[in-house]
Amino acid sequence: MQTAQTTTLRSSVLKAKMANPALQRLQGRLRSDVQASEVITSYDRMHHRHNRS
Amino acid sequence: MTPARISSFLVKVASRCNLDCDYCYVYHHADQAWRSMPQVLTDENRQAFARRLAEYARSVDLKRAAVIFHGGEPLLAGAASLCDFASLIRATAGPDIDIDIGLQTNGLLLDDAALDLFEAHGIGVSLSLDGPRAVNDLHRTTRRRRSSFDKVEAALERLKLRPSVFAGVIAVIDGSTDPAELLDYFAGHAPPRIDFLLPDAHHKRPPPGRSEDPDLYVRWLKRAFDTWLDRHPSLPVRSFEALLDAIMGLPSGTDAFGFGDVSLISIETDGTYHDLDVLKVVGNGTQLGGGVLGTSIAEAAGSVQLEAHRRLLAKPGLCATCQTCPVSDICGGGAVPHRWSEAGFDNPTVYCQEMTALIAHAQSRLSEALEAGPNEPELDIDVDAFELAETGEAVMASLRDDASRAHRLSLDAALRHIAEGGGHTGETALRILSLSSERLDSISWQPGVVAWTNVTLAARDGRTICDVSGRPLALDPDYVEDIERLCSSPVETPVVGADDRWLRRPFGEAIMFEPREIAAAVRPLVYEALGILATWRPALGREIEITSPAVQFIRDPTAHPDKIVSFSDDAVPGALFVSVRQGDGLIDAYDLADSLLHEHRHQKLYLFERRFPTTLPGDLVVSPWREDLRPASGLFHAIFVFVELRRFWEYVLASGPPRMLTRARNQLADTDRNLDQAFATLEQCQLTDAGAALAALLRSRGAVSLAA
Repeated sequence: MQTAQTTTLRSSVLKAKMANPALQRLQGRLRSDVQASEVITSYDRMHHRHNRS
Repeated sequence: MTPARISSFLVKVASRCNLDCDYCYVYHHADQAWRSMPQVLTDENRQAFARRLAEYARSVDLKRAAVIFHGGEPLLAGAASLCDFASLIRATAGPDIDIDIGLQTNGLLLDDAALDLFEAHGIGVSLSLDGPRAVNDLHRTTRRRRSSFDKVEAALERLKLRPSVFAGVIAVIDGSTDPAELLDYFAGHAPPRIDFLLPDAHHKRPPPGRSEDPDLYVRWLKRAFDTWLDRHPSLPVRSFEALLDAIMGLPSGTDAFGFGDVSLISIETDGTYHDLDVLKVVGNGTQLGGGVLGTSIAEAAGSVQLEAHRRLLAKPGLCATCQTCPVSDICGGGAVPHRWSEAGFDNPTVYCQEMTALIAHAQSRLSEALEAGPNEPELDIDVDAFELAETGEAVMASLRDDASRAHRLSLDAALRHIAEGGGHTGETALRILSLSSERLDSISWQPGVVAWTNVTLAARDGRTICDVSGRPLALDPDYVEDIERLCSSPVETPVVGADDRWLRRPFGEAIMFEPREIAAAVRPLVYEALGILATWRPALGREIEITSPAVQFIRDPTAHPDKIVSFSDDAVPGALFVSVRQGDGLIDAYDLADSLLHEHRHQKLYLFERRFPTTLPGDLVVSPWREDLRPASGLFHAIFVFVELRRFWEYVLASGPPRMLTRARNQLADTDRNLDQAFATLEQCQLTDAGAALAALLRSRGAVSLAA
């Protein structure tokens, strides 16, 4: 059972951009817990470009 | 109550020890049953245990189990004998169950011959070591109180060279020591995992030193937590990670925090079943009834003794004080042995004040980190030097080392996972793990290997990773054969058009790769393009060769045939994906140089961002180079790329062939206009300190020519 404080913390950690490796690992475990699957990358993130010149 | 599902088996293979640690629960606490135990587990009991485990696995459909060889000191049973036992357990269980076998040792007998055997038999080793010499010798001594440190640290050094067997370190806390010094020591050795254990204690036997100094352990734990989080956050300290997991409502994976169920039983050297070994601290009462010769594991799992233990691991089983305590969901009431008093287990843990204080402290540190926004690392590199290849060699080497260390740890873990699966690929994984550290370092950095490693670890952890088309990427154990081939000869860079499926799989059907014959035909064009860049700026040529060593040839079926397409992604770091065909012919070498440089700059910034994030989460923004809205990070990347490309086209305008002059003028005009707009938009975005420093530098250098 999650308390309101736990729920708030989980939500904040999931949204945060963590630079600390220990907190990044925590965020990774949390994401694994809430996501059934993840995409290795996305076409959007790939910096895909068409040269227009 | 349904019987407990047992998946871990702590098997006492030797009841005696060659050390005499003064805190040991086996020899120095209430239960003295070791005195009447056989010195080693007999062959008859070994065979019976193997049969009982196989029988139990079938009866409850157990697919994975862990067997921990324990003692006393398990190596007193002999390394070869333990390997025979491991083989017997696995052979008897058959192929349908994956059995992870490890041992917990004091390290005194852990020589290279033993490690060779453990490597060959897939047996993990966890080492008991309390810290540097002064700390370790406080308790971990021989019967004559002689130091064990030199031998144990030598064992640690040997284990560090054997990542396939090195499972981690267990250290018992002494409240009189300096936790920062301890963390520094272990971080210097970088074990794959470390556990800090509180000294075994209960209400009849309080924690050592606490009656004289009530806050001794509270201070120690808080300082250790802070040192870990602030100074050594890359060190996997299981005790603290489990605490954070419990705070987040995740299963903690340990009995130190949170609720759970009994999943482990012990088998003594006389073959009898026992409950959690450490319950010996409270008396001679851990027997579950029967032993491997006459009783099934299922019967032991359903015993009334285990049922009583299980009730203590759920909230209704806690004492009245804990029932109403706001943090009992996190501490789970504390470790069961620590709750004991003469009246039984109906008490808070003897470490209640420590648990409560540590939980509050960890929650507070977590909240601080979240309120402060990104926990920004100190910008300890010279950004000016980093940005230009001519001055950035040392910084880039440091950033590559960071990434390389992370890739190497991941590769070792992925190979261990494949090795645990056994069979031909498991043997190949073990052979790779036995290669020199330098060789593994260089292989772990290969882009396809990085992508395969990430997917393998996701599969190990029960996660699914999908390709760009949305299809799950399947575990690919056979790729270890490709990795072994890569290991067999030095990797020559650039790796152009390599037939490496893990450079391609992440992109599914969204991208088409050129067939092998095209890749072979355009290789000279790649060398010509790289040559253009190296002639312009030799340092840049070196930087690309080291940082972005792989080039793949692609086609985007959705793009106009006259457009030149390229991309890169940090899922396959160091790989540049470029199109080489335009209409019916090949693109110009200068256009290919533009594509290679463009994607290399993304790779360079990815390396920087691993250590220093540049942007904070925010709204999507307009990018002058794209029709779709982009996150601030995408705009930042574009600026970082086009500042360099502007220099390139200035060089082409000044020194390139006449056929490229109009192209260069157009490119410069477009880039100047777009950079102006992009910098103006970036000013509206939230940047980290590192991002702001780099953005300011890029703005100041945006129009500076390096054409000469």
